[in-house]
Amino acid sequence: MKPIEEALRVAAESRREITTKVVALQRSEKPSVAEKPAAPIDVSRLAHSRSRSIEVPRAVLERSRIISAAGQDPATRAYKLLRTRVQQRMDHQRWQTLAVVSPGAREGKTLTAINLGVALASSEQRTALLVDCDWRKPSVHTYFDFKPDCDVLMYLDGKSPLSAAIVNPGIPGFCFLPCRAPIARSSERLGSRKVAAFVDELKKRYPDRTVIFDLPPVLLTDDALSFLPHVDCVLVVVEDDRTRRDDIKKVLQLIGPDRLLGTVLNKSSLELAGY
Amino acid sequence: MNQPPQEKTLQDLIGVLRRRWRVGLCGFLAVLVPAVLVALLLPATYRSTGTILIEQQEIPQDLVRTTITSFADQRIELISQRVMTTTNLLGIIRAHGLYPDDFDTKPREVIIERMRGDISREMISAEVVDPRSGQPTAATIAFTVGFDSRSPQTAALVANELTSLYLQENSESRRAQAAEASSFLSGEAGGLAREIAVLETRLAEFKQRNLDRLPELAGLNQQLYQRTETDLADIRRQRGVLEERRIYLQSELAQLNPSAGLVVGNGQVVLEPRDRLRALQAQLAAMQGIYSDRHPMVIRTQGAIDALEAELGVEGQGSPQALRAELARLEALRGSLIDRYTATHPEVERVDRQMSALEAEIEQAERDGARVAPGREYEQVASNPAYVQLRAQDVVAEAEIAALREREREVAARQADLEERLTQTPLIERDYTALTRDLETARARYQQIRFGERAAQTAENLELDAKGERFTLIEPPLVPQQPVSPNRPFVLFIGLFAALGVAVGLVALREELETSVHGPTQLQAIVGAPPIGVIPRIVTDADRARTRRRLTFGAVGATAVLVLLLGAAHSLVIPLDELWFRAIRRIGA
Repeated sequence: MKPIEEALRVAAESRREITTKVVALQRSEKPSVAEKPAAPIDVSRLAHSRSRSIEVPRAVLERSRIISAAGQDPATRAYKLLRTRVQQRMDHQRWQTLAVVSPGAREGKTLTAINLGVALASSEQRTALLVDCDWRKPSVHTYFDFKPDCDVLMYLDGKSPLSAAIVNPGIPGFCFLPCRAPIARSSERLGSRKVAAFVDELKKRYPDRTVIFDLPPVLLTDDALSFLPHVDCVLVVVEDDRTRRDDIKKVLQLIGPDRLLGTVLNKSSLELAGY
Repeated sequence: MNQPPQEKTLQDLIGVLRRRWRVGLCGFLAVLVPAVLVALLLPATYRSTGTILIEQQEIPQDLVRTTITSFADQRIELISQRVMTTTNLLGIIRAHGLYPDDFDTKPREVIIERMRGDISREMISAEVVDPRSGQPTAATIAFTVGFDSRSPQTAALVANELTSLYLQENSESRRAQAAEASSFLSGEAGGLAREIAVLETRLAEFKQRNLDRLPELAGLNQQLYQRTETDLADIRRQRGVLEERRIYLQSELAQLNPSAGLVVGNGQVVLEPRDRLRALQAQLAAMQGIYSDRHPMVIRTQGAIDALEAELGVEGQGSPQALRAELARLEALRGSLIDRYTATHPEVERVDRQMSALEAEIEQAERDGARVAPGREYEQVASNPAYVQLRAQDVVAEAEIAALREREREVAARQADLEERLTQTPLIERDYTALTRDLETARARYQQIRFGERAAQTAENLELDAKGERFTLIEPPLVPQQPVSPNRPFVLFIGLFAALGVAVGLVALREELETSVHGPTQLQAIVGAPPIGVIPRIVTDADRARTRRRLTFGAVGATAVLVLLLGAAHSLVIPLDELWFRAIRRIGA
């Protein structure tokens, strides 16, 4: 328990630091995030100027359980704890791409991916791009109550530029690349060289950007397995009281120990102590 | 399941409760509700109990010992068996209309068994020190008889009946036991008396048969024998004295002349014929030496001798003695002759002839037998007073001797008889002793039995007067005010415990069967590293609203169902107010 407490203490300190920074940033630069999404000052965020910005009402975000970087609720704190650990580990390994998977469906992959992206983007010098790679049941855009015109598949097919497909939901430093509708032969496409090249391109184009891939359930389809070779590391989401222990073991076996960034216990009944 | 065992923390427990409270609650209610129903609806059973004291005998045991020796417990068991007979129980069941629902439908044995189950009996013991052994023992001093029934009145009635049955059975059985002991002993005594009578008759007959030889007379016989011996010796001694005296008398007589010497006028004593005979014989012998036989002098002398002999009754030549004397004389003569002459000398021959003639004569005389003792007639005319006196004494002595002889014979015969008795006594003694011993034994036993019989009769009287150990009803069965069972709080308590147990068990089972991961600790156990993030469940306003809505619906629905159920129960089963009062009463009771 001692190292955990120590880690928690360290994490709490870093989070406080970050939060003050973010708050200061928001107050000084972005008094209204929703209204002026396309006014980035930071150079690293210039890319967003080219992407499409949408306005997402706060109620929608709340309903979708998407955190706000300035929130003080336990969930936000928990996501920020996760964010910091992920960030530190990835930086240590110089990893840039991260796949979020889970053994089964509806265990919180997509929400974890979104909130992790939001949390990552809230830190200085850092942007996050979430790519919806669940091409069987794409759902990232529904969290923002948004119907995209272009998507990642259109870009891959060369039907639209990447900038047209990337969406900024009004959260600074955070964009997502949606997928509009399910497609056939998703696993083959996910495992294709084209997708590999796309992932490489994303990495190279934005060196200070963390790219998060939302993937289908590992044990229900082979989509995730097909795609996993393209990413640097994997984050496994597990739902508390629901995910079966055997399934977790299977998933861990499939991923292998080298690229496992860690696990996230989602929908936990354990509340983080108030602070 | 193959994860390493971990410490369960309070948080784990809370997590389990949070996850499984529904299962637990279901199990809890599923057990508790029936338990509560049972506790409330179980019909009350009332027990009425009577206490019966076992009272000790009033008369001290040292004075009158009862013939009932069994222990109180044993007796109570015995009486119970008598009380609990099917007949008795059926009688009670009929009299009080017990078990009305089952009496006609179920087999009799089942009803009786049920009745036996409803009858309760308890011994009340006290720690006492046994006066005989000095060791502390538990003595039953009382016992209770009770009966369980749904109705307190019935319980009391039946318990009353049962206690009175116990009391009655006890006195009856004690009396019967005492009477039995007494009658048995009487029978024994009668048999022994008959045996003794037979033995006595036999002994009497035996005594009759061996009157004189009985061993008990042996001493007397011995004494008698000794006395006869003394008598005999005495008689012999007397006889000896008398005989000596007689010899003396006879010698005196022999010296006296029976006839007193006749003195003639010239002072010459007239010789007695015998003396004259002797003198003549002497003269004759002298003459024969000088003269021949034909000498006149010899002839004359011979003639005188013969006359005298005739007078005296002496057969001179006729008697064998005389003949022998003559023979001896002749022999002597021959001896003197043979010195001088040869055997052929005429003189010798003549003597020989005479001798042979004499011998023939002696033989002749001896053949003719003894002659009458000579001189008897003669003696009657004895005239010498001294001789007569002596002669009288002699006769007396002779008579006495004869009497003594007779007596001696008698005593000797008596002695022989006694001797025979004494020798036969040991032979008879064996049989006699056997007979006597049998009789003695029989008498001793009879004595003993008679004593026992008297004691048994006393004990019987003791029982008849109810002065022995007896049962006293000290606490009659009363109508119970409170039910003895069910112990409703206890049932409730047990139900509560069981419900808790079932709830815990169900939760544990559910948890054990669970395959999903719970909490970061478990996850760490699987992954090998703690999760890098633990995200709490995010509850939105919409979620809260939904939960509220659900709760409201649930509460409203449950209330509606409850009201409906209560309404149905009120109208169909039992009015609610009555149910309420009943429940209150039962809980209170």
